[in-house]
Amino acid sequence: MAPRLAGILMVTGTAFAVPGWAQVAPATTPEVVARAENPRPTRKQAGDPAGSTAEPAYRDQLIADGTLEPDIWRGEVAETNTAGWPRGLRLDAIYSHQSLNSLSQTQYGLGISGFLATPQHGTFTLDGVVGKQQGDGLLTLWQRDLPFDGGWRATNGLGTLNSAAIDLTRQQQRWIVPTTPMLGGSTEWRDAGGTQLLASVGQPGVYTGVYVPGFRRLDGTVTGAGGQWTLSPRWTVGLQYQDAHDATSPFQFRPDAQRFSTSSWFGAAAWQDATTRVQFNALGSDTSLTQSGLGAWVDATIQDGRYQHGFGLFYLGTALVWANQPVGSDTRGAYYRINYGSRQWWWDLMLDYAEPAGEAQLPAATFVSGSVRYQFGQGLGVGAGGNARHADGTAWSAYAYVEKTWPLLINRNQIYAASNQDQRELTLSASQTWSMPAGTRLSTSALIGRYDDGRTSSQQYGFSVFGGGDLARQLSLDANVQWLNSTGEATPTTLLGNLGLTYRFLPQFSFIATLYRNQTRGENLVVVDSPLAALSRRFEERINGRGIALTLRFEERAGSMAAPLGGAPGSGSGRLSGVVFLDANESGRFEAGEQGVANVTVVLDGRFAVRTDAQGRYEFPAVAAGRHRISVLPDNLPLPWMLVNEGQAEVEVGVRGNVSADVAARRNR
Amino acid sequence: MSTERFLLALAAWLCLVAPAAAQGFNAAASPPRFELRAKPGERLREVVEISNVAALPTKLRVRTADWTLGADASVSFFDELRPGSCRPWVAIERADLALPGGARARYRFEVAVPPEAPAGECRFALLIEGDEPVNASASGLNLPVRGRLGVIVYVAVGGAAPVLEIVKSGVQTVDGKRVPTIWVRNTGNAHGRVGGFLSGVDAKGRELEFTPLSFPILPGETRAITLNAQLGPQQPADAALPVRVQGTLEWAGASLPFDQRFE
Repeated sequence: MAPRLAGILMVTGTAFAVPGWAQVAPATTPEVVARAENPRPTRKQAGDPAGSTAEPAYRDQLIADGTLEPDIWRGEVAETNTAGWPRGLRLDAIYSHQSLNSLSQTQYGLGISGFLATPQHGTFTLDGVVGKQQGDGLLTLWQRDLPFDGGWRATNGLGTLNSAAIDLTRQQQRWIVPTTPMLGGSTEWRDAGGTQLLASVGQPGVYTGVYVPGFRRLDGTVTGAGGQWTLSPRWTVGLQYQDAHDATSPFQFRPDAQRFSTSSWFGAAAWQDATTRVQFNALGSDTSLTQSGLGAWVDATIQDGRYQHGFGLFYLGTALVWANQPVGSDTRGAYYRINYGSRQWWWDLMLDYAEPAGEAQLPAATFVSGSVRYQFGQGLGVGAGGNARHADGTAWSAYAYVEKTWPLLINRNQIYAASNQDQRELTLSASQTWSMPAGTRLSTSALIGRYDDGRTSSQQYGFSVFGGGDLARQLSLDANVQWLNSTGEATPTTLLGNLGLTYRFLPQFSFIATLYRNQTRGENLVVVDSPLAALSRRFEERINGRGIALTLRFEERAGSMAAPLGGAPGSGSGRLSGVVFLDANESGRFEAGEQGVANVTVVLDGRFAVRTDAQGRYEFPAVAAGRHRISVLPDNLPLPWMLVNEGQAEVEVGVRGNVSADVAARRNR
Repeated sequence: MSTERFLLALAAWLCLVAPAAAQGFNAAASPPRFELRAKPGERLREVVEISNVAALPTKLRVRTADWTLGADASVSFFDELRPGSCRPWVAIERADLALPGGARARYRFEVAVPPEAPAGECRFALLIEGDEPVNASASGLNLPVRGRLGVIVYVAVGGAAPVLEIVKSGVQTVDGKRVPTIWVRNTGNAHGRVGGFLSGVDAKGRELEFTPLSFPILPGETRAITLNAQLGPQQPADAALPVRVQGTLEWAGASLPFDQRFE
């Protein structure tokens, strides 16, 4: 009999590591195999005692005669109190001291994070930090997924949160309709038929801080309401109104910042079938400072086998705003994107043209971007790509690489060249992601390069190392070091390093330390990766920064975990973890020299939220088996980085599985 | 229905309900398998991470076992030493492991390859079992079920490597569907897996990619490897025959051009 493929519990996809396969063997009946890879249900062979409770036919040898001390890490789940509803509490005492040249800043705070999952009233979560920080403290209470008759579910928030937004504002290809951080309340209602109703009101502000997050309030009030309706399986329409009254810009913190009021609206209609989606968008605003503005754009995507096309037209008039937030304005143009994906070939191409829509004396800009990758074999791939922008001048960047998988590592050798008017850069780099024992990780990178700014030039060489693991029982360490030596005047010698340590010294208590040290004169890489003007980030002043952040954490969970996150009582669960990181080389992998993004919110299935730690890591220890959606809220994502796929990812969590889902952010193009 | 067929059906059904059936067993192990290399006389120490994802503490038993793969892709474990077993080379950290709720253990095991060991492959399994059986219901029957994880370990000794060859190609019926298949023989002294990049246009005119089933082919055996069709990433498809499949097959650093018509 030929083998039957895939097994009943075959894991889908290859993006996530799902270790372990489970075998459930009746003691006196045929053996049953349920695993993710190869075997399938079968009958145990006669005389096979494996699985029986009888005296084993063979006794294993023990290392050091069995005297080896067990190396056990206590988890985050309480081990005693399983009565009551699932609930958890985390208390953090946080201290940070940061210095930059002659300036220094000390912050401290008390953080609280808790949840209570009720069977009838949704899940309550509380998240906040109070103390000495930039701006005011944070405190947010959410009641998520409150069920009602008729299939309606409500999510209510109070405190520091982002204004509610209909889903159609988030399904954008080229332009962003932002949400507004605010201190206030929001409510959002959904039914099973696709209807979404929402409203929010509050005082606008901006999020601050990394180690001790805070919220800096702005003047005025922001009010919004909207709705979205699924008219048929193919048509969805939505309308949202957002109003700012007597408000100030999030980019002006001066006491005398100019106040203004705006009324803005967004309307959209989307049509879709199995392969095609078209969304028509319109946005209008009226402000007390300037004239009213009007914009419209259409985005389309077509999936054609292995080809995916995306294209659109846009016209955004002058003076467009969204409540107190800036949006794209005074531009018109078109774009087209195509990508092709197979196991062996992958390529994409993007063309983007934009010119002023009004009387601005800005040049039209054309942006071309593309990349290609070919997999010669399972262990060898090559790729190349480039970007070029032409406006009042021409800037370009290009790269090519060879990536080979060896038994111990994945190595990528890359050449990168860029030119932006006066600046030119050429670098050769080699990056390695090492195969490491369970619980450890290591990646390394080395580069040499030449930089020329038209007046002076310099040669550079350097390396970066990222590594970490469980050093001892209850003690884990992660370190990231980048060192770049420059032999000329055009570029600085740079040393960047950070160290993260976690020590769980009691079952409910852990100590987390993060240290960093930065010595540079500012970044001056030639960056050409956006239709926007190339960024010039030269700083003559030398940057000498260092910092430390210490957290003492108490954490406890209780209640019956028979109801894992997102699942019904009694369903199996797995562990979901990952890292949110700045994907500098757009490889899709978290590599040496790349930074994790601290303190961003990761939401599981729109209900359960955690924040990333100082290394950008997050974890949901017990998640119901099945398909889940994780969403990363870009609250603290630094500009100009944007989350790939809008920070959304689908993951398949297997029973007793251990799924890793990293979320990348790339520079905005 | 014969007794054997009934038991197989029951086994398959239990497999589907394994999450609920194994409610009292919430252990996970990582990585799911080890593929190691060693020289004669060398001692390897490896770590498998065993997690208890439940809130309640659990007691686990850990031991080694020999295993075989059946012709129908079934796996069987053996507690007694099979001929040629390398388990006498293996030492484990401990036989009993108590894990608090939510805890994980870095569980160590060693493989000490004797200096006189010939080139070949040492294969065994680490079985991680729940200490207490739990009840599972199937077709109205209540059965005591013991949860169990198996971690497969391969150790290639003295440069052992697979030598694979295609002995036959054709079409076989899997779950009622006719699937292009190759039969691969391993004349080497270590297990191998077939990979590679294959493509073709099926009878409906669709451009398809074909992925060989990543299944271990043990030394001395011949195994049927199906070529699974995909329209695109994450888009499995049923190839309409006839179809000509072309490309390159790979294993253990070797590659072989492939051009075959299936009908």
